[in-house]
Amino acid sequence: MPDPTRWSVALAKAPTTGASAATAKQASLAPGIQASRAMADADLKRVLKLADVFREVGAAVDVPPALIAALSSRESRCGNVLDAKGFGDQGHAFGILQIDKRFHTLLGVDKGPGSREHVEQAAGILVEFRKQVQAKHPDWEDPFVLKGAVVAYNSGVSNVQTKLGLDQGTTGNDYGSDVIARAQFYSEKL
Amino acid sequence: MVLALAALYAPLTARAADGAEPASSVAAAGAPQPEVKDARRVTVRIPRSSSSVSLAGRLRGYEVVDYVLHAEARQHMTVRLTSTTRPLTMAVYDSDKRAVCVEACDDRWSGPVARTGDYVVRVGLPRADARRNRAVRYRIQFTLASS
Repeated sequence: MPDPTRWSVALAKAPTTGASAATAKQASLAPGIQASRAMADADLKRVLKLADVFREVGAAVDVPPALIAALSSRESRCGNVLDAKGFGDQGHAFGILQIDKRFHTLLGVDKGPGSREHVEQAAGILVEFRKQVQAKHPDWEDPFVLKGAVVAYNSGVSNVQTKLGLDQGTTGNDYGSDVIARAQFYSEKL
Repeated sequence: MVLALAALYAPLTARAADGAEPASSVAAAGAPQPEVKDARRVTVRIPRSSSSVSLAGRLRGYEVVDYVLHAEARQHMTVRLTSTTRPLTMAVYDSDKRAVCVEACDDRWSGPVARTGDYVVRVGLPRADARRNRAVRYRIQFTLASS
C-alpha cells in the first residue's frame, strides 16, 4: 500500500539553496531560500484561490499540493505573467504550469490557465518524470527523486544526473532548489 | 503536520485500499499528438541490408523535427537520441497519432509496434533552452527488429 505522506515527507527533507542571484534579481532580492519564500509569498493570494484544485489533483496523483503550487509560482507567478488567453513563453506554453504545446495536446484551454484540467495534465507530466527519475536512479532517496522530477519538468530527464548537481543546466541554474524552497513555504500555507 | 497531511490524502488512502495505483498521467500514453504547423518532417528509411539507420540533426529555438518511420505490427522499435551539448526532448506517437511517451521517454525509447503504420518521433529543445534560442546538434538512431 502506498504511503500517503511519502512525497510530502520527501518534500520537507529535500535539500535546497533557494533562488540563484539571476532569479532573485528579477524581484530585486538577494539570492537564497528567503528570496524563494518571498516570491512564493508574493504569489500566495493567487495560489490560495486555487488551493482546492491543487489539493484535489495532488491527492489524485500522489503529489504534494504545495509542490504543484510552487511550480505554478515559478512557471508563471501563478498566472500573473500570462497573456489574456493564458499563454506564456511567447505563446509556446499554456497555463499556470506552462505546458509545452509542441509536445502536448493542451487540456483546459477553454476553461482557463488555472483550470483543473490543466493542473491535472501538468501534475501527470510531473508524475511521469518522477517515475523516470526513479527508474534512472534507483538508489536515490525520495527527496532527491522528487527534486529530480522538478528539474526534469524544466529541462528533461537527461539533465537529471547527479544529486549534487541537480540545478546545473536548469533555468537560472536554480530551478530545482527554487521550486523546492517555494514548495516548502507553501507546505506551511496549504 | 503529519495528521494534517493524512487528512489531506484521505481519498488516496481509501483508493489505495483497493490495491489500485494512484491516478496516472493524463498527459502521457494515449494523449493525442499535437499539431505543430511548422514542424520539419523527415521520412526515415532503413536500408534493406540493415535493421537500423542513424541520422544527424540540428535544432534551434522552438523548432521541432518530426521523424516519420513506417513500421509493421509485431516489429520491435528502438529510438536512441544522443546530443553532446544540451539535453533534448523526445516524444513518440503511434500510427493512430496517440502518444506512446512524451518528454518522459528521456533519450531512448524501445517497444513493440502494436499496429502497422507510420510512427512519429518528435524532437525539440526543452522550453528552457528554446526560449534562449539555443542550437543543438544531435544524432538519432532508429532500429526495427522482427520480434
